[in-house]
Amino acid sequence: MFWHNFKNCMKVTLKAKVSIFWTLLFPIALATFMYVSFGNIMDNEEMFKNIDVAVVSSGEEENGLMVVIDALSEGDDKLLNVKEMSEAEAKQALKDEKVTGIIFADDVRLMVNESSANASILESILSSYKQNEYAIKDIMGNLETAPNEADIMAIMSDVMADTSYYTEKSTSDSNQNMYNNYFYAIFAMSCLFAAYSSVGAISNLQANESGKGMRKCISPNSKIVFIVSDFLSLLVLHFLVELIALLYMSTVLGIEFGDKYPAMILTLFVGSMIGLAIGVIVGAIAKLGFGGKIGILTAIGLVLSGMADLFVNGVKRAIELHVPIINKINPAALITDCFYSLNTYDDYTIFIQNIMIMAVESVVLIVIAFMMIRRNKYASI
Amino acid sequence: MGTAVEVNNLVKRYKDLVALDHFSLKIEEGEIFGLLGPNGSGKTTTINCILSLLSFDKGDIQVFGKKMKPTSYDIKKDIGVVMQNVAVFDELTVYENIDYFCGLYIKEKETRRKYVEEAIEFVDLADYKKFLPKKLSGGLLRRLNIACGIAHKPKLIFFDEPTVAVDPQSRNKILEGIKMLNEAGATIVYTSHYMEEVEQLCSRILIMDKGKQIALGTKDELKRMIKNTETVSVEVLGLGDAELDKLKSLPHVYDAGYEDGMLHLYFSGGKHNLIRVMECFKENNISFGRVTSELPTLNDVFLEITGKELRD
Ligand SMILES: Nc1ncnc2c1ncn2[C@@H]1O[C@H](COP(=O)(O)OP(=O)(O)OP(=O)(O)O)[C@@H](O)[C@H]1O
Ligand SMILES: [Mg+2]
Repeated sequence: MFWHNFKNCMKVTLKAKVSIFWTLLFPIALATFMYVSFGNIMDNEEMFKNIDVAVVSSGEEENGLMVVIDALSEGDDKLLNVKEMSEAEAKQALKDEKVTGIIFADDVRLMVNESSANASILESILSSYKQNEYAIKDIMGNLETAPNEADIMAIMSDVMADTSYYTEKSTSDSNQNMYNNYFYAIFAMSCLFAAYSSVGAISNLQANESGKGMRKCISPNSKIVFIVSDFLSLLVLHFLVELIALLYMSTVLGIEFGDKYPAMILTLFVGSMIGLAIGVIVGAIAKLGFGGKIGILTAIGLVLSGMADLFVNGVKRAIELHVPIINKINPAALITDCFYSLNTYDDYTIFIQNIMIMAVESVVLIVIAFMMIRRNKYASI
Repeated sequence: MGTAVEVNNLVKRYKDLVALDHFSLKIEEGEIFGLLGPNGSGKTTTINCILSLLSFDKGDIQVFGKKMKPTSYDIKKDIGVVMQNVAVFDELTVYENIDYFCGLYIKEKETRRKYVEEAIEFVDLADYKKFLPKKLSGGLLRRLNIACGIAHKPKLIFFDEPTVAVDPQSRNKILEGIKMLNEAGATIVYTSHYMEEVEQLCSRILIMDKGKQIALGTKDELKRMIKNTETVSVEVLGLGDAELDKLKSLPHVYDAGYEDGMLHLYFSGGKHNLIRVMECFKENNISFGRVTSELPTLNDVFLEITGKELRD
């Protein structure tokens, strides 16, 4: 019976071409779309030539920051694109994302909106400057005439040594990481979308929702056999979909995911599992109707993705600050974290932890679902 | 032979609506038991309760002498159900559908293949094995629905209005098939609101209305329960009141009606009633058209007990 139902579930899902088509199309189309729109940005050589930055200065500052900034914003391959503004203008520009950050020259302070590779370069410039502030002031203070070009260059090379480390690291890793985050988000969402296929399978198991469910209920078989075989069957299919998506992104689009492919594949497997388990539990809720269940699933998917920063940045960080436990159980956050940690750290601790959490969550959800629909009798059919 | 199904004092409420009101029945093994009642009388509800699909408020249900529970797999394996609504996979062909549902009961591949072929033969769908359900006509679809319910050769089969929307020819095939299943040893529970089918098929009939049993017996027993034994209908134009009175006063006539040129005379007992009617027409020089004499039907039984027609 187990294999009979397993095979049938697979056959039915494959023959209902529409659903498998959409689950496969979603990650591939979205990845292609993102690839095309990021295409030129991801071409990372050009990326850091110009960081737009607003400088607010009274013109009377006593430090040498302006000298450094000027030096960084000259020449063909200048790092900064400086716009001097009033404080109000600068804040507006930052808000409108016209500049990456604002440097307040008077008190050597930096203001950025969000963490990005460019923002961290600005941070490194400022901190390098602060570290070398005394040396710079010293030179400038001792000079009777205009500062000697050579002296400035000496200090500058010091500052630049730090920043170039950042720019290089950013262009190769962080920047790649930042755009990869979007592709991780695609995987997370398409894993959550697996819920749509399992919710249908569970509806087809309940006598009050479908005639097929009635036939299964009157047959001499336990519901757990149906649930588990349907689940595993869909898991195989959905896992294949994710694998195809991964293959497409890494070979056709040429996205660099690093070299930890086995671990990434495991993430996709466990991610599909948790997505399907969410569909199973929603499918098991009685008295909701198929439409209602799809609605709830959509809501759950959007909320979980939203909380994992899949739409706008910053939500996840806010959650991390206030209710960190949510990030530890939200499957969307766990999936993206798995990828991120694989690509960022050599250490597997976070990865293993996240995988374990998702596996446990899946099992718990399925057990609860079974308890909910095991009681075969319905009040109304 | 033992008892196949026994239901005692079953009460099922849907909120305020009492769908089954202290309903009882007892079906012996080997019979074709008819459950006859108008729409909404509680036939499907009864079957769903027996199958442990529906919870009920009161009562007791036994199948093959054992209390029926959702986990009574040893009982369930011998039951087949042809549901009122067609329930098949749209994605699977005729053959695959029957094979899947049969496979919920029969593990062994060879046996299953044989059973599926036999079921296809039984409902005469051999030419449509590879068809998807949406390519089948309504009647063929119902035949597929039947095959899915009976392929595993159950000992007790419920047919819930299997002939709705089926043309007369297919309907007769289905009824013949059910008789064959019964002859092969299956106990049949057949629900319908078509009295002709039930009369033609069933060894015993339970008539129900509003969740209650109103009569039970063989078709002859049921007909004997009522006053009417014969209805004579005559096509006649311009019948006067005096003539109508004469006809009404014929022996054994207990009621008469004249409407739209059709005369109906209702008899209770008596022989040669038709001849007496004809003689009366001759004596009074009344010209007439078509004449029929009908024995009572289950509809008459239903009409007399409930005061309303079986069919809406
Ligand atoms: N799920 C439900 N919720 C509320 N009332 C219901 C439900 N199912 C059935 N009923 C009511 O219970 C009564 C019995 O319904 P049932 O389906 O058993 O009738 P039936 O004899 O099978 O009729 P039909 O010939 O139309 O199939 C009807 O009045 C019906 O409206
Ligand atoms: Mg019904």
